[in-house]
Amino acid sequence: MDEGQCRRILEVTEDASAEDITQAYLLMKRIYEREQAIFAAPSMDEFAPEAREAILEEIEAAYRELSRLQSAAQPRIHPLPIILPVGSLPSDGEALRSFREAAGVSLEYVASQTHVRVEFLSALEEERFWDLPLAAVNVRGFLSAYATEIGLPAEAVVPPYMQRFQQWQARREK
Amino acid sequence: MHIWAVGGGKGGTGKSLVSNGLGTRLAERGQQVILVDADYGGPNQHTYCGIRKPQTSLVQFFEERMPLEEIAQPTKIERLRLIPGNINSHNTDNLTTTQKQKLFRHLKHLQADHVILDLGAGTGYDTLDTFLQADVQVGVIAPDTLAIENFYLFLKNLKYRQLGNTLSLLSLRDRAKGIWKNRAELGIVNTKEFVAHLRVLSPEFSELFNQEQKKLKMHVVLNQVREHRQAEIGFAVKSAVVKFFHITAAYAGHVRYDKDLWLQFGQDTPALQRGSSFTLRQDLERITEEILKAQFPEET
Repeated sequence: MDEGQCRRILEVTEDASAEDITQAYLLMKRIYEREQAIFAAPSMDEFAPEAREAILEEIEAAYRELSRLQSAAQPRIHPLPIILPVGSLPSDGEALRSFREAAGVSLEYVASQTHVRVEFLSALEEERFWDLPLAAVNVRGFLSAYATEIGLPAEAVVPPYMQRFQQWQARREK
Repeated sequence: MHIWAVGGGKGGTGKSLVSNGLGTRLAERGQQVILVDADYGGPNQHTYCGIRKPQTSLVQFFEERMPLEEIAQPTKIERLRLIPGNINSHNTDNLTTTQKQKLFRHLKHLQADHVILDLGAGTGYDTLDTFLQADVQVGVIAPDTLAIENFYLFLKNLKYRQLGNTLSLLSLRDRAKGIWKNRAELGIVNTKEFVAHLRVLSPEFSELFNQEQKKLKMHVVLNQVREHRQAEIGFAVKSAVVKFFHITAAYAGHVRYDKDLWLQFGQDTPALQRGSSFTLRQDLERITEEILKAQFPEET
């Protein structure tokens, strides 16, 4: 499916923005998800349940494809399902950054979603612990929000990272 | 000159109101407009225009061969003229197809920028043919299942009519009938497969049918919107027209219901020009602009 087809399916124009596309997608879902809608004519062959389901699938596929094209050009418009290779969860800053970039998510986007400032997020990724808040509880909160946003399980990512943060704090106090 | 047709299947959805609003707005934009009351069985465009007793009407055209230019009479709105429907005739809704075709031929020669046909309800062949021949096709619906169901039926009939007309033009009608009759043996289960079969049989048909289908572009207008959440029905119907019926469509917008419209008739002022009709006027202006934008992008 090329971009033009996707836009036709979601019934948006060529110059529709990412936001317009998301709105159109949500509207389409609202329209076609209901089995009994006021606009439907169940008496007619055209409105067979299979036809409606085929349309729903088409809408999903079109939106997925447009999201993929958009996220390649950032910022993304829809969380992508990410499949993790078992046993290789990133936990240090460098690995987290690579993971985020591979998912096509910008730091600005994460900041807008988590309400954690970009400066703190980049300090997390670069492990500049001295630029982070002093209280470990705050760092834990930032990291957890960041990990969840880029599609990682916080409970697996946070402990090893926090261990390094607290070791650094202990060294500094000595 | 552009011929506009306003139809939509069910009666009482507001075809006359929308025709009147379109005509008024186009005239206000500085163009010469002629409104034609082609609702033979229930003409009332003259009442919308605030004309109590039209001096001439389509009766003179059909019975006395009076030229349409002479029948077209000025209204209170500058540049907007009206050709009223058959009123004082014993025979209003039983015109022959030949008569209606003659009318359409004559309409094409009128001196105006836009001619707007207010069509009647129903899905008779003449109504369908007139709608299909128009340059701008407007379908009016109301936010209820009854109106919407009838609208879809109107669309289906338009499609069947296109198919029938194309076959007739190529003298393939009898042959196609034979194929449909034997469809079980040929493994044809629905119209879609029937058309596919015909396409293979005659490339000429395929070509001509494509051309015919391109001529249909439905502008959907949702009238009688009483609640905000009903506005979405307009989008939904337009979307269904595209996705279930594979007809090109654009959503032109909705018209808010005016509970006082019934009070505006029988006066010398046209119904839409009365002060309290302002929401109708606003909405119909917006809709006219939307249709112009979608239909003539290069001109607006």
